[in-house]
Amino acid sequence: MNNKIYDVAIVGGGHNGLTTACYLAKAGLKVIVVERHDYVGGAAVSRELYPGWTYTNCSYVCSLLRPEIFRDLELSKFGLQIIPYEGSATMLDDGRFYAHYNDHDLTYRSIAQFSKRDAEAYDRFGRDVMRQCKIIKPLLKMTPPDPTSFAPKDIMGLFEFAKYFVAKDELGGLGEKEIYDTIRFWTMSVRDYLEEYFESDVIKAHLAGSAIIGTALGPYSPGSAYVLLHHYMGEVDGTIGAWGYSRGGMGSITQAMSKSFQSKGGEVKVGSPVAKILIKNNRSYGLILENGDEIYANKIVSNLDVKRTFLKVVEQNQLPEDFYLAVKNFKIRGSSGKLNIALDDLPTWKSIPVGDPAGTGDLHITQSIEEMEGAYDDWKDGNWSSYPYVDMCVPSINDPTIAPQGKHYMSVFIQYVPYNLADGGWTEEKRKKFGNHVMNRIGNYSNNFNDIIKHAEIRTPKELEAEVGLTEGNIFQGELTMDQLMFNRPIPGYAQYKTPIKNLYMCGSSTHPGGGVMGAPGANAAREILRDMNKQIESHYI
Amino acid sequence: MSKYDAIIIGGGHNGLVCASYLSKKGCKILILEKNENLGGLVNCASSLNGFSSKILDDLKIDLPKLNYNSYVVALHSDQQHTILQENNNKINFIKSNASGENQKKFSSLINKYKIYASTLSNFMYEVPPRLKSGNSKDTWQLINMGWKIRKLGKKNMREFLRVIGLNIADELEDNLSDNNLMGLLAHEAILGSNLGPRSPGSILSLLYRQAIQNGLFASEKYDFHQLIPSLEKICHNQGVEIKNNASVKKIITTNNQASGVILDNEEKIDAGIIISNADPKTTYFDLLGTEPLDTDFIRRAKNIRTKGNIAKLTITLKENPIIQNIDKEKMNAKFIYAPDINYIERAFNASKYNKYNENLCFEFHHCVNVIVANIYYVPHVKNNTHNKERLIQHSINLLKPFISNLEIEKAELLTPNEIEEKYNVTGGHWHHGDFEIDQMLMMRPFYGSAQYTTPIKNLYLCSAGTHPGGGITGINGRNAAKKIMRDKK
Repeated sequence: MNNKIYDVAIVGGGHNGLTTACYLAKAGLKVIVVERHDYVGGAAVSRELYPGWTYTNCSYVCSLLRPEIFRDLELSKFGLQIIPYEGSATMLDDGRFYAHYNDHDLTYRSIAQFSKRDAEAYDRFGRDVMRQCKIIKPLLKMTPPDPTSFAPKDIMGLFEFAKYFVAKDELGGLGEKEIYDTIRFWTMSVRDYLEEYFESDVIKAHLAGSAIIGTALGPYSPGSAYVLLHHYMGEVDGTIGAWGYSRGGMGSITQAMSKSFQSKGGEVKVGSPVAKILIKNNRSYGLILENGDEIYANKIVSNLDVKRTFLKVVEQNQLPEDFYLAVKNFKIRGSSGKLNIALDDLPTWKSIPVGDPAGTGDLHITQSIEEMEGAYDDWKDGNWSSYPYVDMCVPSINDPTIAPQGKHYMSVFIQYVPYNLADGGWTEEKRKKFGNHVMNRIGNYSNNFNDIIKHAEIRTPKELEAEVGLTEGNIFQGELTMDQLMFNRPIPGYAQYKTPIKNLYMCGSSTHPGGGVMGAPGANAAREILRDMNKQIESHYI
Repeated sequence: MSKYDAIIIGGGHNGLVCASYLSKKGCKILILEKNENLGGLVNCASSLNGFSSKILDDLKIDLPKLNYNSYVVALHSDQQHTILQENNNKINFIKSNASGENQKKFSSLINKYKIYASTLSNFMYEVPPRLKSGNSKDTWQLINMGWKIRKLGKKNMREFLRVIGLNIADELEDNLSDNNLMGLLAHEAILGSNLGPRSPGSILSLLYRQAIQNGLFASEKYDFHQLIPSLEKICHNQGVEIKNNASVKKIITTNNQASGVILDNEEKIDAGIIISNADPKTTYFDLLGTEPLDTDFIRRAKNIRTKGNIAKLTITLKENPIIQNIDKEKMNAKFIYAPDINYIERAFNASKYNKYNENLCFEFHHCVNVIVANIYYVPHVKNNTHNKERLIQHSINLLKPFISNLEIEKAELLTPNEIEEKYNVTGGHWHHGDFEIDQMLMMRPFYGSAQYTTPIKNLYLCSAGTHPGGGITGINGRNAAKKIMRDKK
């Protein structure tokens, strides 16, 4: 029996849990990460699920991971390599495709074949979105101030927040017009936003894709433009908005984090599902595992989503009633599915020529924003979309380590798939039917796709929930809507990584700034914990 | 020297209120109304309980109150309707299948919103401040607004900041389980907006309704037939000239300054100040023309969302209607058919694509043998491609299950397109533009045009398209008049 007391025990070894762990270990604390599965990684995992193929079966591309965290955790040293890809494309029924390249002139030409006017508007759009990214970036790193509090920390925080807006233009503050644009951007629907720039359906549909991934919003829903930003503000090697594959699959990120953590003396305990968080006199002091073992620690950090934390591993009688209710009413909806497919050969497309750089990035299947909204309507009625938005990529083109020589691995993300089907629950049969439905759609756009499928793993929100532990299979650990962002995330009044229980913290994507393989929630939580312990470390991020 | 100090384009309620305030201060005003009758969209209304009592006091209008107990009936297809009544801010359920707990939660939800709505109503009588004008008065006003929100207290402020971005469906599903009650409140939230119950922001739209009304289901109502005549009388007494059947063709500008208008019959009238009670899009694109405006401004003006989606159906019956399970004395109720959230959401789904499905929602009043119904979601469509005969038939089919003796003598329908044409309101939108976070306060109608001013000197806006928003409140007209008086000094 292990009776030593840790400084900090972290429940769940996802990328945020590991990020928190690394920072705390760096400060010299004795930290243990307790993970349910036999491997760490949460939703950033890669495993050999079919002999010879490494499936990255949840999150699939990398961009949002904060560069400061990358440096602080020395992830390169521990084997992480990000391979930027060169473009993305949307395939159309009429055999044309719209491609977006990292090269400005190529993109311009690609847009111009649909609309000259849109090609001109694209620069204006790019500039405006980049400006919004610049505004939001410092906010990601910030612990959201509580606007209802009079504590000096919160008032300073609000001041910090207001600084961008109030500062004189010469000092990098926003102009009056930009402030209005920002407010509009944060509250508008992505359709309305894009319509202010573009006329061509395909350009709008291509750009709107990022705004609906993972959310229970449609492109017509107010607030969806913000989600666009959430996917746009990433960067690879300093290139804002760029995306890349992590070599060896997304699991390499968490593997590198885990190694970095262990190199600092941290302990990872896998295969140990946590049954309960031990709480006495409103103070948490340890964990009890499902096998009955107990682990004691001065501070407990939960990487689980807020619902799982407070409805599953904390007893209800330990929580204030309105907090419990607020957690119960937290919006976390499954809306996405995933197919992971082992292919015998390189898939070729009817529209995109082999060798076009756009074919190496993410490929979307959608015709228009209207079709995407229709897909959302289906979801609202409890059905999977008849014309789902499909975002797929073949990372094995750029990363040969994940599939056998000459063979390929394809990751397919599907929006929208409900967690609960209207006509009864999910069954094995329905899951297969759903998988076939999506593969048929992809097959329509490919020359050889149907013939080269070797194995396919079909994942509905149910599977995402069962494997990763994300409630309802929501990939962001909670909807990214205004009522659940910033100081409202996850619960108003508890947005500063703390909980009503002393010594119990949250560090998952349920907290500000939200989902995506970003690491920011984890690093922010680490900062708050270190502040509470009066410890300081040297880092780029904190 | 021109004969008038100011010309007001459009004799809707806001134009009349604005004229009343200005003429009280001795300005010589001319109101130009396109139609034969004054009132504009007020003629489309069927009840009035949102008109600002502050304005009634200011202008010393004694508007007669309707002193009957009006009921609200949420119709249900199995004829088990919910009947309720609001008296002295308390909701009484006369008849309902909902459990006692549901009824209690329904009331407490409304009471919770009432608190936030009264915070919002604090801001309604102010010219909204600019966010970064460098003017200390604006900064002070902003701080003051923040302080008013803070005054809600910690718990309420947190909840307020949460619900303004939330959708009504989520909130209802979290709290209630009775479909009919959920449908009823969702209806109140989305009526007149371009939102479905599941669209974020639909609670904000409900808060606005509550902020401008004495009570969401209040029985205390004004006789709205008296409103326009009363305002007209005041105008007359104060020397305001009113010209009916005078459609303005163009606003004349010289050196970026408004100086008069030209009517359709080419008559030219000069005035130092022009105030437009037309919606912002009509004002800028039809009356002013884009020539004196810069590109960015034009783009912003174009982007205001003004798609209306309510059609007005008036039917005359052969005899007084009978509704199953409703006594005669309750027939003066407001009847609402929005049976559950998913039904409403589906009706909304079609309107997103500029279509409508047969299962629409509606509310209606009746008076003797005339039924006046608002049918939604019937979207405003380009080139008015509605098949009107079919639409009327669909609308009547909707009423049929509830009115057992529906024998129709005459049926008239005004689609959003026709409302647009008749009242000169872009999109036929009741409120001259959606009320959402990006189109409220200092962003209504849009940046650069928000404080009742325009880029053209001496051209002002006073319509529902300005802060605080739509509904028959008169506040827009009052605020505009205040702003004009202040500018004049």
